[in-house]
Amino acid sequence: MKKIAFTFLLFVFVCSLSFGEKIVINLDVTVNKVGDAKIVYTQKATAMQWKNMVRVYGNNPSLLKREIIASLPSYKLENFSFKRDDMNRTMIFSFDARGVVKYLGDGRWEFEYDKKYTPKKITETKWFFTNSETNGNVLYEYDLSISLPKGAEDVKLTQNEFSKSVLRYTLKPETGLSWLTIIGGVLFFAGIVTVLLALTVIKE
Amino acid sequence: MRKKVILLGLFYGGIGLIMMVLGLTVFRKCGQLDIKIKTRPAVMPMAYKVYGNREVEDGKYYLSKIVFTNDGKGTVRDLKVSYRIPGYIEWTTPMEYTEILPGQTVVDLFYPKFPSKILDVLNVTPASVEMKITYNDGKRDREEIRRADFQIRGRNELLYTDIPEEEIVDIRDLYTNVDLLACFVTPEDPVIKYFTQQLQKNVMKGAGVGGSQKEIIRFMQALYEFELASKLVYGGTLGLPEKVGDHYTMVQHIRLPREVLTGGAGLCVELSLLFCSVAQSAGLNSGIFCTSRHAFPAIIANGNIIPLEATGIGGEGLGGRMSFKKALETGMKEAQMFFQGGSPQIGVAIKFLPIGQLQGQGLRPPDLKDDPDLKKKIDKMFADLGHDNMRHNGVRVNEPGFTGRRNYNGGRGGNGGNGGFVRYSDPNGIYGFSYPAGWRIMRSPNPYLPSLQLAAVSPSSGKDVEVYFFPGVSDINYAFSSIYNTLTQMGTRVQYQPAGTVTINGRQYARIAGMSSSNMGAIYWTAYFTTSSQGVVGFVIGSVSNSLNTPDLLTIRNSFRVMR
Repeated sequence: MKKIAFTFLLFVFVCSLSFGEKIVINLDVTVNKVGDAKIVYTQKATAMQWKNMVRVYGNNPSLLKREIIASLPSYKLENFSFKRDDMNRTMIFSFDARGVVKYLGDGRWEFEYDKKYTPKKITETKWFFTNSETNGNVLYEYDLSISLPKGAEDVKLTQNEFSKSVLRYTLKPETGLSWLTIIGGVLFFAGIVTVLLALTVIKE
Repeated sequence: MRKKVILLGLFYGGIGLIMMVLGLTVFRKCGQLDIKIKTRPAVMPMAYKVYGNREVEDGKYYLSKIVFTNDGKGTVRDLKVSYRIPGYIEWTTPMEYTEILPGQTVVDLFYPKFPSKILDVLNVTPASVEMKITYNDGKRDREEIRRADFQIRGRNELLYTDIPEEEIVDIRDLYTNVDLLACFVTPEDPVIKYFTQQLQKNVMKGAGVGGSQKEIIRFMQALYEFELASKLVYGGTLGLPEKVGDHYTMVQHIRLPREVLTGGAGLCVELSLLFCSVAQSAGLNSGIFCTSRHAFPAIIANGNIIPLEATGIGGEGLGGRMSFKKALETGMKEAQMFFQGGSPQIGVAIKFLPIGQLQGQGLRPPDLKDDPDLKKKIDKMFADLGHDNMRHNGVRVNEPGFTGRRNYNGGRGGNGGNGGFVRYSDPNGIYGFSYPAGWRIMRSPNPYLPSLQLAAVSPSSGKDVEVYFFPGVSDINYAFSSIYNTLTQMGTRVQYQPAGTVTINGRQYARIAGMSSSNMGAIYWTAYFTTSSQGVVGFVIGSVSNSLNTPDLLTIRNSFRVMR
């Protein structure tokens, strides 16, 4: 997770004038119940930033896809989408990243984040991570909004065994029992109840 | 009645029990792992430490990537993955994944920690990576072994790109691996360290390199003038295009700094690597400017970059050598062109490589073994020069202008003095021509055009001449087409038309006139191709202005001679 924001830094750097400006990187990350993430990057640009962005990626957004894939080898990336609103100088780039959140077993999940980020809890399943850093004359502000899957509980910030900052939560997986087992169980229970009723209630 | 109800209950309960047992055993939901494997087609031995480091450049230098997806309805448990590279790496400690839920994806990357014996590979060698995958799919334990082939390249080989052919957009995509040049800078090489110590002892009189600009320039001058005095020359090397896996890349043979130093010759990139290795060994930070047709080194100090044209040491048939002052001035001019995106003289700016920073990020060179014989050779080099020659006033070099008067023997070129022109003769005796003194010769300037033998470039007027040779080829159209296709693939737009034939020095040439344009601007040119007993030979006279009949260009044209 910590690499996702940095990946977009490269993209923004290409588009910036690199003098005396502030660039805000907005990322929405939505995690599903099997640890995959839908990542949506939205960038509203100044006129000059937009001109640079269009020059580099405007007619060939597959270049951005290529760079993202190269910089995130730990995930399986798919379903890329690129939308461009020239009138409002806004670009929306999204993709699915599979295998983002690590499953520890017994319903426990975790993902690692860079300790430079300041986390803030919005709700139990919605968190906000922010970071600012300068590069030359440009101030970069990262705003990551992370939505955990419905039902995630016990969400906490901690450190793993390697002293890396992680966010952990619990989400029990859905039952792995088959329909045959469930129906069999119901029938077995019904059979037991029937026998007990026969023994206790029904007279000879 | 009661009995009937009891029997009914037992019947249903029995059926239910059987169904439960079947559901938990025979018809239990089981997982189904879909496995996708991607393996790098080749590894370069000089970068072996990079492949073993997952922190370098976001982990992009993995050897293998396995994507496991559980497409089944049950959980896959106890997935373990280990790797082996026969002959190099035994089975690794397995990476374990306790559970993979239905629909979940897990990605495993392999960063092999090659042993240093991989440096013994001198030529491309086939290798394979084996993957042992064990897991329980809910029904039973499974074990699979998969194998993928890859190449171990020769120790001195650099593959310039790993982008597939269909993804190439512009010329920079042909140099995506250029960062790995940092692995060829070897400040910790015992031979380089020894040389640096001797340089500091014999020339700098024991003084270390301080932080002041003056001290740094002094060090640069000592190194450069040692190279001049010891007759280190700017020479060519091997570079051939090759299909590696699913992509097409230039594979360049790069001599290690110790080999350049003791072998006596180096291409521009090799001289740059040597310069940086010695500088880093002396405690300085260095960098390399890389363009599409050239490389030159620089020292980074106190927020400044001090570039140097390392090929100013010149060489056989190159018409002379630059003084240190001229090499420094030329480096500065080239750096300015670089920061403007490039120029016809130096090519398209690709990247400036800050070596210290890159090595700090994990692009580290390998550990090279000590070599007492090479150290003896270095001792001899210093002894032959004598201490007096190594004081900065002891080495006499040509001043700017390449008047053709040289201070060394040997070589068949550089006899100049013909109205400010210098004669160049191909070392293999195939061709020769005259070019203006002051122009710079670049050997094999474009690794993606191996037929481009050399370019003579004006430092200021935007004119140049390029010489091409296609050994064993007799079809001029084929030769020209291969140049055209390569340039087009590199993002250059080429327009041309045949312009008849012309006789130069008794030989008939096919003439082609055209214009090439890129983001560096447009160049007008006329190409002349002829067949010889060795193959097709051609030269291209170019200028940024549409005026190709200037006296200097006409002199070049009329002086071109194919010997055999």
